[in-house]
Parts: sequence; C-alpha cells; structure tokens
Amino acid sequence: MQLQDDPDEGRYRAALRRWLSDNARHAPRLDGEPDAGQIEAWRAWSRRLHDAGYAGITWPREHGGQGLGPAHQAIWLQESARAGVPDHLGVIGIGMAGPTIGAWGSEAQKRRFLPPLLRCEEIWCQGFSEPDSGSDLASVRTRAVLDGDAWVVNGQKVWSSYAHIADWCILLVRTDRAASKHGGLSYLLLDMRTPGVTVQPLRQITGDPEFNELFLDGVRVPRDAMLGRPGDGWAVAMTTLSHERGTHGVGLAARLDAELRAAVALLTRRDARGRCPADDPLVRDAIAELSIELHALRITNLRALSALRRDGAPGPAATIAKLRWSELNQRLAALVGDALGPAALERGEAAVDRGRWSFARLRSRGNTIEAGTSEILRTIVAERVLGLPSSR
Amino acid sequence: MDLTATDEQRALRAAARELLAARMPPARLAALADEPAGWDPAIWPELAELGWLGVAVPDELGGAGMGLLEETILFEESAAVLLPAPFFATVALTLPALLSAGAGDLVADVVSGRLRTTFAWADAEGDAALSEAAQTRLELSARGPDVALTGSKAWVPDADRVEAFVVVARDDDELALLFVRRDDPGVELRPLTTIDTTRPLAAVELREARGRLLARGSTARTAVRAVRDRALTLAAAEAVGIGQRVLDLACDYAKERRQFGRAIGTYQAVSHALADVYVQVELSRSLVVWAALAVDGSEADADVAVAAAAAKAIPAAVDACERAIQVHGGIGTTWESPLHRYYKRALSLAALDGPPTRHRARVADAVLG
Repeated sequence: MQLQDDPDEGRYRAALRRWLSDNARHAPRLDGEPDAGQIEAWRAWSRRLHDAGYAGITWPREHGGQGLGPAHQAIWLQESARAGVPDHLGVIGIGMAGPTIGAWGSEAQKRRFLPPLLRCEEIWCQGFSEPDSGSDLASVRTRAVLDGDAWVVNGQKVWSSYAHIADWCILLVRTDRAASKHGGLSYLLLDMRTPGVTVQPLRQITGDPEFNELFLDGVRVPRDAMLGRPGDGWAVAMTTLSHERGTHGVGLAARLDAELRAAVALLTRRDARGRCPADDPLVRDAIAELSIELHALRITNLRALSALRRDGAPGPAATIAKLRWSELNQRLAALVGDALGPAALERGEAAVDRGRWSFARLRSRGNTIEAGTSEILRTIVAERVLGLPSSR
Repeated sequence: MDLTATDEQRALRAAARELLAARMPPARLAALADEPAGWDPAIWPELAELGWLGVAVPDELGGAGMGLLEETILFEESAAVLLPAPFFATVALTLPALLSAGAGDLVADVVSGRLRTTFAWADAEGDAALSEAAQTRLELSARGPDVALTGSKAWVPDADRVEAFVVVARDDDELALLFVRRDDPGVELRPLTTIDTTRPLAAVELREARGRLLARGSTARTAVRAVRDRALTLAAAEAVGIGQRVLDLACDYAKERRQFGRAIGTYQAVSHALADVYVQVELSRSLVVWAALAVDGSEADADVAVAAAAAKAIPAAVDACERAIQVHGGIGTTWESPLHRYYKRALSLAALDGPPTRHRARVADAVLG
C-alpha cells in the first residue's frame, strides 16, 4: 500500500498543477447559483478544459476522451478543488449521459453526441425524478406511446439541474403499463427544443432557481432516440446512476477539504481586539473532529478507487462516500454559521466571504436528500453490504 | 497511489485468521477469560514461530522486516478474538522502546519468544495517559551502570504475564527508560481487579529494584514518542477488529432473531443503526491505514494521522459494542453473550490514552496553529 503518486501519476499531477496555475484566472467565480453571465464564462472555461485534455479523462479516445484511468480522474478532481476552479459545466453530460451513451448507444449515437458534449457545445440535463417518484424511482409515470415514427411523451419531471440551459435530456419514461414496474420503463434522448417541452425554475431554500420542473405535453421524440430497447429503461438508468462510483467521492471530499480550509482561515482571523472564533476550545474541538472525519473519508475514497482500479469494482466502502460527505458538509456549514453569529445571516457581495456560508448552511440541507437520501443509502448498506433482510 | 493489500499482506491476514480460529474459538476464550490465570502461555512459542513478535523488526535483529501496516493486520485479527496474551504489552508497547533505544539483545530475545515484556509508564498520582508518559515523577534511587528504582507504577498491562518491564522514570531532569526483570527481589506485583480480564492491569511496587538503563534524555524521549505512535496506531487497529467483530455478531443476530413475525433486521431502526456502525468501522479502518503508512514513512503528518486514528477508531469501537448490545436486546447484557468481553476491551483501549478530546487537541494544533 502507498498513498504517494506513482511516477506516472506524479508527472500528471505536476503538469496539471502547472496548467492550473497558468489558467485558473480564466475560471468563473461561483459562490452560489451562476447567473447568465457566469454561465457563459463557465462555458468558455469548459472549452478550455476540453482543449487542454481535462474533459472526459477516463473516456475512451474514440469518444473524444483521454483514455486514462480513474487515478488520473481523481488527480484532476483533487487538484481542481485545491485550485478552487469549477469542473466542466457539463457535469450531467460527462458524469451521467455520456457514459450511458457510451455503454448503450449505437455507433451513430456515440459519434453524434459524445464529442459536442465534451466540447461543451451541448449541455445535458436529467429527467428521472417526478413529483410522485423520488426515492422510488421505478414508479415513474411519465408516459411515452409509440405513434408512427415517434414516441409521444406526456408527463412531468422535477429536480432537473441545468434544464434551463440544456440542449438535451436523458429521460426515463413508462412505455408499457402492462409490464412490471421496472420492466415497463424505457430511456429516451430528448431534444430540449422539441415543441411541448416547458422548463420552469424551482426556487430553492436559498432563494436561487437551482433546479427545474420539466413539463412534457405531447412531445414527439424520434423512435430511434432511445438507449437500449423498449423495456430496458431501468437497466440503462442504473448505468447512469452507478457511473463514477469510486471517483465521484474523491471530488466531493476534495471540495469539502477546500471548504474546511476556507473555514479555518475565516475562524482564525483576528478582530480589532485580537480575538477569533477559534479561540473557543469547543470550536477547536469541532474543527479537529471535522478534519479527522474528512481525512477518514478521503482515505476511504482512495481505498475504493484502488479497489476499482484493481478489481474493476470500487467495493463496499464506496457506498460510504456520498452518505458521509453530505453529513460532513452540513456539519461544517453549521459550525461556521454558529461561530459567526448574526454575520452568518448575511447574504450578497458585502457579506462575510460573499455570503458563502449562509448559502452553504441552506444549500447543504439538500445534500442528504439529493442523489439518494441518507435513508435510502443506509438501506443499501444494510441490505447489499451487511446482507440484512429487505425491509420491503 | 494504491491502497489495496499486497499479496503478502493478504497472506498474513489469512494465516492469522486460521491460527486464531483454531486456537481461540469463542468457547475457549470464554473459558480462559473466566479462569484466574486468564491465558495459556503455550500460545506464545507459536506466535514466535509464526514471526508475529518481530513482524516490524529489521531482518538483522531477527525480525521479518515488514512495517507497522503489517502489524495492524495482526492486532486487528487478534483483537477480533480477544486473544488473551501479552501481545499488545510486548509488541505494541515495549518493542518500540527497545528498538528505539538500540537494545538489540533484548529485541532478539523478544522476537525469539524468550522474553515477554510490558511497559510501565503511569504513576499512581498524575496523568495516566500513555502520551503523558514523560511526565512521570518516579526518580532513580541509585545511579551508575546498575541503576535502582524505588516507588510505584500503576495500571501496568499484562504485568503478571511477562518476564520484564520497561519502566519510564526520571534521572534528575532527564527522562530515563529502564529495563527491570520481574523476578528482581525489589519487584512486587499487586494485581488489580478490573473488568477486562483478557488484558489485566497491576500495580508494580519497586523497592531498590535493579535495572538496566536503556535510554536517557533525548534518546528516551524519542523512544517514548515511538511507543506512543506505534501503540496508539495498534490500539486503533484493535478497535477496528473489535468493531468489525461485534458488527458481524449483531448482523447475524438481526438476521436470526424474529419479533412480530419478522427478522428484526428488517426494521430500519435496527438495520440503519448497523449501517452506521459499518460506516464508522470502515472510516476507522481508513485512518489506521493512514496512520500506519505515515509512521512507517516518517511522514510530516504522522503525528496528526496517529492522533486521528486514535480519536476516531477507539470511540467508534465503544459505540459499536454499545449498539451491538442494544440490537441483541436482553441477551446482549448477559455474561453468556460474548459482547461484554468486546465491550470491556474497547473500554480498556479507551482508557489507554485519555479521552478523544486529547487527540483532537493535537489535530486542532496542527490545523489551526
């Protein structure tokens, strides 16, 4: 076992650090939800990443990727977090849609969709969840009925990040009501400019319109714009949701580590009377505890990454990554908020750290809900890792 | 970066499991733990034969030349069966001091199984934490090549299962480490009645006890730090072994035990509690790996890594035991259940170096300055 980079990883990291120090000034600054101007800057930044070979690091070369392994992906995630620059704007495309198209798509679909996705010429969003289908995803009710050469889609989707700027959507629909709950699903690739598609922003607890609702009213999707065959939807969706297991957590932990360093800088800043929140021994203890937990998460993620590289599967420890990250992110936001007092209530440019902490306090509540609630994740650990009998 | 176990490490773990399953099945442990002697010395030559006593000792001193990481594997596995033997006292607490002090002859005796040792650091008055060993007020009563000690040491682990002690003392203003044989006429043991019979404690009374000066001054301080780093890492490894074992026991029980017509493991109040234990054990395991790699590599962050492992893994083991007892219900609170022995060992580990706030304070110093 070793934590240090091997020579190849070390060279990659050194080159990336040089590139980041030369290029980080072009990155957009994102403290909350980006506005239209920031989105444009983010697009330009994403193209820069692509041109430098930092988009689709683990994708095969024939799909426009770099053909490198998960360790290189992890180095990108660590170093970009350390430099404080955002990842590619097309996170849904690179992390979810792209790998699914790579696994299930025809050659024509791969050629059509993958290169523009990496170049950030096309943005993807996800149409999975519905108002009545949250944790119980297989219960989706949005219908698609074959009419000649098109599927006619009617229904409603929700929690769709980036839908307001997206060009394409990966859409989970019910094509067979007579089939079983899981067997009646299919997976469509929806052009967001198709008539009948309406996007409405969903105002969040932060006040920002981060997610969207998606209304689908008689939307005609070409018959061949499907991944897999009719009825394969659940299996295709599982590919979407399982991708990046093993590396995703590395990025989450690295971003949280940067947050912790920012919190330490803030809480050790002395006021005019020479005092700082970190003078309080209980604040010190809480920061130490968070730091320890974060180290534990970081090493656990690297264990999962090592297993992924050796065995092709990240192993049971990978199920911890999101569950634990979400709780720690909430704890950090609460710790900073409590230590700041009324200043923690301020938002906007004039607020402490431009309102980063009040935003984090509110936004982090969603962390234990989105992408698998903590309850669902604990059930997954109980049933799939510990082998306990199913609760259903 | 690669955190998968090497073939050698996997073989070591498999061999350890095989031996411990054969020598220390649960019924055997329960019988031994309730006997006055509390252990069977016949296991010791076997451990020497298998190389367990010198896993991290350099080849030229008769060891296997591996590292702390390999030792963590053995301590995790031996704690999983609560192996009653002075293994922690000899290998985790004393061997690092002998190695650090350059006492090659004694190291060779330990590795070959001829010499079992323990570490006597705590005074009856004052801070008994292992990290505070250098605060001792026990003064040498005679100096020269054959030094003498008069006074007492408290809470010495496995004292009546060993042949010698490494005693932490003071020589004027300097820290000193002494090697004292248990059969010295000036040594008297006063065994304490404690809850963890798999790792008993005793007070050691010294009346002009003769000893050999192993280290003094900065050499002694370095040796005491080496003991702290290695013993805390290995205590954390034991904590992982305990946490994993009681989690396995609780999961087995939750699959079998039925109430209201269903296995209790189907209730999420039970299954989610066990999922949390799993998460805590895995996080602890990661910190043990980090600490072992950092100490083996003499990394700059070794001090933080060791403190992190101790702060996390030991309370996690205590919590795992408490949750396992809860999941077992009434039977979990009986002498018949194996859980109480694991709980007592976890509490014994928690008493080794004070509360986790102490270790977190060291992490806070590193993070916050």
